[in-house]
Amino acid sequence: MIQKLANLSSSSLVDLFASESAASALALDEMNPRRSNLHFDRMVDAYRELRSRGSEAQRLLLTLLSAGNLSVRADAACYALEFAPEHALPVLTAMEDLPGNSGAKVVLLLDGWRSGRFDLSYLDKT
Amino acid sequence: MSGQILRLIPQRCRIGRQKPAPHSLKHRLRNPRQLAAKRRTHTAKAVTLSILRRTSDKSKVASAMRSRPSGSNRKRPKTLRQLLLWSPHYNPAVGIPLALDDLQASIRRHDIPGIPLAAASFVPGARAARLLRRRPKVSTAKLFSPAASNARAISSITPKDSAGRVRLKKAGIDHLTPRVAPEKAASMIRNGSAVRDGNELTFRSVSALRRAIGGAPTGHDWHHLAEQRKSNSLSAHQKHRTDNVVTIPKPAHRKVGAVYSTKSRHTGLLFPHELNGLSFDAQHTIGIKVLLKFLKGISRKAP
Repeated sequence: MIQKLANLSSSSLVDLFASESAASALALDEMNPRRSNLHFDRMVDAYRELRSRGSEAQRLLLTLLSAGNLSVRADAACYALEFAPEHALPVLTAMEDLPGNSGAKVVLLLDGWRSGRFDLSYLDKT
Repeated sequence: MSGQILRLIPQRCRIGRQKPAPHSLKHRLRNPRQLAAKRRTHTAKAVTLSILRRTSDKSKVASAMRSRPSGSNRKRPKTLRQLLLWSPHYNPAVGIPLALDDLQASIRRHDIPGIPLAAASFVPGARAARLLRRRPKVSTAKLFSPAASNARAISSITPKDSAGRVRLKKAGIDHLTPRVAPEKAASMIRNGSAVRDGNELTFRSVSALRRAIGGAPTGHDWHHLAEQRKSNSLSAHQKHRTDNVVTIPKPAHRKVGAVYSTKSRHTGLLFPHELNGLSFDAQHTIGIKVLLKFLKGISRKAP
């Protein structure tokens, strides 16, 4: 899987990130958290690969901040907090009042961000 | 003559012998209820005296104080001795101003297994207070100042709402919490399954909580705002409180459960693992925020 990701272009990785994020949200809507977590792991792999390619590749993720799918938007904003919080925070605060799964996730994320529990060190472990 | 013969007969064989004295061992053996009561009182007395003996031993107290971990207020004491020495009432100069209520409250708050909660309640009030109390050296002027008496009067008339209750009221879901019948609450407090904390009741286990609040209405579930999972480091009395449980429709409960079973984007951990270690207030606040996302269409006001 890692070798395959290394062969993909950065824009393909962003597409993969978006599709896995959407699949994860769909699984959660169907109340299947296990499958949701599987897609989450794949999404993390895609972002990890992007991150390893440097800030230029990482910033491609900012294109997803205006995605139609709310879950994709929230996930992209979450990782964008790492390198472009000035872009990510307004997106997340605007989503804070949403009902349902997306709103709940954003609430949990922002609570972690504000209380200092935001820690992406798990991305360093492969 | 008759007197000489009488002396020859063993005393226990004599007819019409005297009744044993009312406080003799024989008398107590004949009254099992009284004997049991005596035994309870003696046990409680022994326990309380041993507490005092242990705490009044200055060298031991000093060594325990030295070994007291920093920030011990956050740690749960494991023994009665630690409980007493880490008590906020502890004053090295005076000893521990240990009132019966303080001791009981501390034991309940920390929910220490193995410490007989009932031990403190065996001895009747005044006597127990005499046994347990070490009065702090506080001037009587301070104790009976108008401010102190006002504070006592206010706290005795209107116990303040707990922080959790305030949060629930603010969110408009106060009416979803369970109501426990006063008689049931009183009996559960008597048998040690529940403890009163201001206006709230806290329970020693989830089964005790369920016994008190009964089943949820049809199509609804009881939901814990701060997670009730065993992996949660909060004590049982913190998790199973009347202000930590709300009744919500089953579909909403399943949705909240699904969210809590997913991994957090910002730590990569499952949410319960991420929230584990946070205070009750923090977990309760997050629980309310998440729940509100799934309560669309439910009245936020009391019926």
